[in-house]
Amino acid sequence: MRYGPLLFLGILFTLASSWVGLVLMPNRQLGSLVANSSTNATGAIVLYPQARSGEAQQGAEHYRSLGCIYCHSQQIRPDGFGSDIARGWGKRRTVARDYVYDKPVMLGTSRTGPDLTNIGERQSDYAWHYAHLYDPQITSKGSLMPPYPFLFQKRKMGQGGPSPDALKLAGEFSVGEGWEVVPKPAARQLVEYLRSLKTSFDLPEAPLPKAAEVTDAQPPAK
Amino acid sequence: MSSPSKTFSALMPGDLPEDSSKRALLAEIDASCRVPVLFFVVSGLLWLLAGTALALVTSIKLHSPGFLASWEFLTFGRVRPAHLNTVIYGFASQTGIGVTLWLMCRLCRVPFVAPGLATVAALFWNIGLTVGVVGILMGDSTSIEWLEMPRYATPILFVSYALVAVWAVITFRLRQERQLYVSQWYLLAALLWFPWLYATAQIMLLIDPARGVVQAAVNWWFAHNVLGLWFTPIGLAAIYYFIPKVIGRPIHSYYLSVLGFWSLALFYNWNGLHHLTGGPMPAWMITVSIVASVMMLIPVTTVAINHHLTMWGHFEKLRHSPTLRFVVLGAVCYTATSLQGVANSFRGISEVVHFTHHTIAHAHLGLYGFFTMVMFGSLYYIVPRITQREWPSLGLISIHFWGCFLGLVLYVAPLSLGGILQGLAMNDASVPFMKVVEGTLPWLQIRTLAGLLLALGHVAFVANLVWLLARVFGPYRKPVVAILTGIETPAIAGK
Amino acid sequence: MSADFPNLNPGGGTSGMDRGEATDVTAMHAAIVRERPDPVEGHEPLNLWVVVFIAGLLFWAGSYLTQYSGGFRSDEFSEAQINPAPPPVEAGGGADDPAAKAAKEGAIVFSTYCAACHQADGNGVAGQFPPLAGSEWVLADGPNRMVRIVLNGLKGPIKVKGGDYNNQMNAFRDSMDDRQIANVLTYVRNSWGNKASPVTAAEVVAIRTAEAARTGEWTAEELEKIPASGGAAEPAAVGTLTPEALKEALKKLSPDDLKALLQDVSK
Repeated sequence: MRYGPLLFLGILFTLASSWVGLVLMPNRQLGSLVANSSTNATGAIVLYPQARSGEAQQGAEHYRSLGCIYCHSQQIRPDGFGSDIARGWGKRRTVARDYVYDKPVMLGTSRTGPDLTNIGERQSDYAWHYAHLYDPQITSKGSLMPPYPFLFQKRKMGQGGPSPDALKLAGEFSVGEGWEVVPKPAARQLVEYLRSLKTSFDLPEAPLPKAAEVTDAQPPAK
Repeated sequence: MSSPSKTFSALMPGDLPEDSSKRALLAEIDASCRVPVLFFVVSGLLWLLAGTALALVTSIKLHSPGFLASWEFLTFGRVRPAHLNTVIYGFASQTGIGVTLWLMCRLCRVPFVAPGLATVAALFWNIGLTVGVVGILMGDSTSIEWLEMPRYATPILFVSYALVAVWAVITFRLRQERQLYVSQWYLLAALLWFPWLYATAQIMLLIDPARGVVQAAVNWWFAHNVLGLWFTPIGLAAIYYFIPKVIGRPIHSYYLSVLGFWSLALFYNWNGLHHLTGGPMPAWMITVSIVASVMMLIPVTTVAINHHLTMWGHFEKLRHSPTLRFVVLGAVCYTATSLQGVANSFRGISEVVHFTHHTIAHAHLGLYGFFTMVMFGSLYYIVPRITQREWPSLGLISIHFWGCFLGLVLYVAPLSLGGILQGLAMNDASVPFMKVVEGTLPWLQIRTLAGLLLALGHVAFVANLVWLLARVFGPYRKPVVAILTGIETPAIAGK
Repeated sequence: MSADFPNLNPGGGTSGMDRGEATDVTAMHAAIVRERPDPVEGHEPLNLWVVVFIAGLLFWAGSYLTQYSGGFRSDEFSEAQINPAPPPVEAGGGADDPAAKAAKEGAIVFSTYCAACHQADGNGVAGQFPPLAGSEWVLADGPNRMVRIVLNGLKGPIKVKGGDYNNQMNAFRDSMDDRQIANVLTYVRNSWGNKASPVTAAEVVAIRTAEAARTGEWTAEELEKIPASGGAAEPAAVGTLTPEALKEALKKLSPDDLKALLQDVSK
């Protein structure tokens, strides 16, 4: 090739094609999606999804800062494509509208740990989350998740005994007589964020599946 | 000028005495490249060492999560992106730019224009990168893959890149050689594509974030294109230059070069969304990316034919030329990783390997097996010419090559297999998740071993380079011609 | 030896221009001098098979795009044409015998929702989450208390196997359907050395209906007032069951379940 201008134009138009096709077109199709509004049984209007509360949004910032996406995904694949739904990670696949209020969108690309799209439905217990974050080996022995002791504070117990939100640590995890471990605000916010992760709501483009026929299970042989 | 010795005559078949003026020009070009190219190359290799250290820490943490776990700045979710950004923007991009600058000068037959400008660019790049990586470790990671450096680091990198881009356009305008060799097409394309990608990503993801999953689309359009439109063209440009240069034969086919370049330019940039197969994106976006990924077979096969048929029948030259060894290894890995990538993009296969360690193995086959090996090979050729000094130690070259080659094989093969097994287990809902996790442990441990081999190779290379640079300040010594010809040198005076 | 290799510094000494610079310029530029000429492109013609290959790929691309693009719509996410819609989730899939299927589903539901706290071995976590293996609450005659706990959760102090626990278990009434609750409780009551009667979906339906108006978690105290087995249709003292609420709840049942419920009530 000799012609600089020809080369330059070719370079320009080839990238421009996907810039239009994979950046501008998706933005046009999905960039103004809003929450879906529906009426529930009592006639109230329900919006899904909803923007997160302040604490939960703060928690999303901690999720981002600590890099949770490198082990946890937040997307449910369709039924029959992988085992996401069969494992109970979600009742339906996730679609674009599930993420309209997420900044940044943290879909993740790795499942060293389980998917967290609906962790708020599976696990809403504060104590479990604090224990799991403080040292995952407490609740999930053999897990490859690192401990996050810096989200907690080890301090001397007050006169009246342990604080209400102190972690209940026993055995090899206990911190000695007269000491307690309490979550810092960052831990609490992160847990609020995790508790807010729920997508089992109907959407026109992704309805929840009807519950399967309720049939009696045969009793197993005694 | 004394007449060339018999040894040198043996190395220059077909070279006539009048070629000496061309040689003088090349020598002048190389000398003018010395400071800016060395600055980029040396910075790049120092970041390689940092990135390798971060890689080892990350790898160990993945199978031993308690390792160094009490420090917030070393938590896995931060060292992993720190490793990624260090190696892609610190090492790969800077050595890539260094090689690009030298290749552009050589191919345009223009001595380095305004070397001060490029040196300042290198300085800014390093400052920006340091600010960015420290920012990630301190908690400001954006959690956008391949774009984790916080917003405050980007303007510094932008200034640096603008200087490089301006330099490239000027050099191209001043070129003496009217015919454009294939490497120049790739290099120009890379230099023009990269700022567009980076600016789009910065604007639509950080400055004025798009809504919802549009961010994911932009993220993966960007990330895949950094690989396909920035690193791949630089790597291919280097392979296209060094294989025919070292063995002294022309590239197999000009027509294949043209076909390969334009099909890459057309199809590669549409691939990005195959990272989101099964995800919350409309079906058409995924389908379009899968089609583009399969169409990549066109550039990959044409480039493979061009490279491998040029090499055919000359494999014995691999023994004496470290440049050729690394560059040919890189070319083979390019073909391998591209074929693996095409396979991975099919929905049926993505169903198994998505979200597993297989993807990580694939990424390393591409960026390390292809790009890094080609960069190493290029540096073995370029550095002696711009410093007018030879590599001091053949032993260190061997350690470098074998450490990297064995480390690469030990990394990619087991982890690819382990990832497939992980995916199959994960897709069986009756296998408890913890069992899936336990199954990955041996593969992750092997990966750390591989990492140690790679680290050994890198340390050997940097040691050799430092030794060579130390000699720049010393008296000139005779070249170690054994590297190219296999002929033993006589004892070197004063060594 | 010297014929092969020029003396790079004849007469010794330096030219003084650059430190250590030898006077033989060619020798100094040895690395460049021993280079081969710059590469050029050969002109092998394009192989016909390459053209055929490309044509084949283009044909495939066109047909794949036509079939699987969902009309390029923004709301069409379905992979349906590639993976035809599967039957509704059968977590116990792969087993033919309904009993085995139920057991398999019970294990998966347990692993998804319960194992995180109660652990895969059913032993819980000391001081935090009570064990299920050998627990007197699990091994009670009937499932009345267990089903209520799973539906609405549990809070406050509770004694299990002599140990004190005071935590909060979340409600699963919306996360699990009646069949899943029945299967997971059957699994729990028959694992890790536990041996107890299975729980049927009809029993779960009955209890869910009876407690339709209940909000908030149970406490151990309240549960102890409810008999472990026997007619499940007695609502707890807390909360009232209006005829309208009962009607609404009954409407949700399938005809078979309604029949089973009426049979249960009329015992």
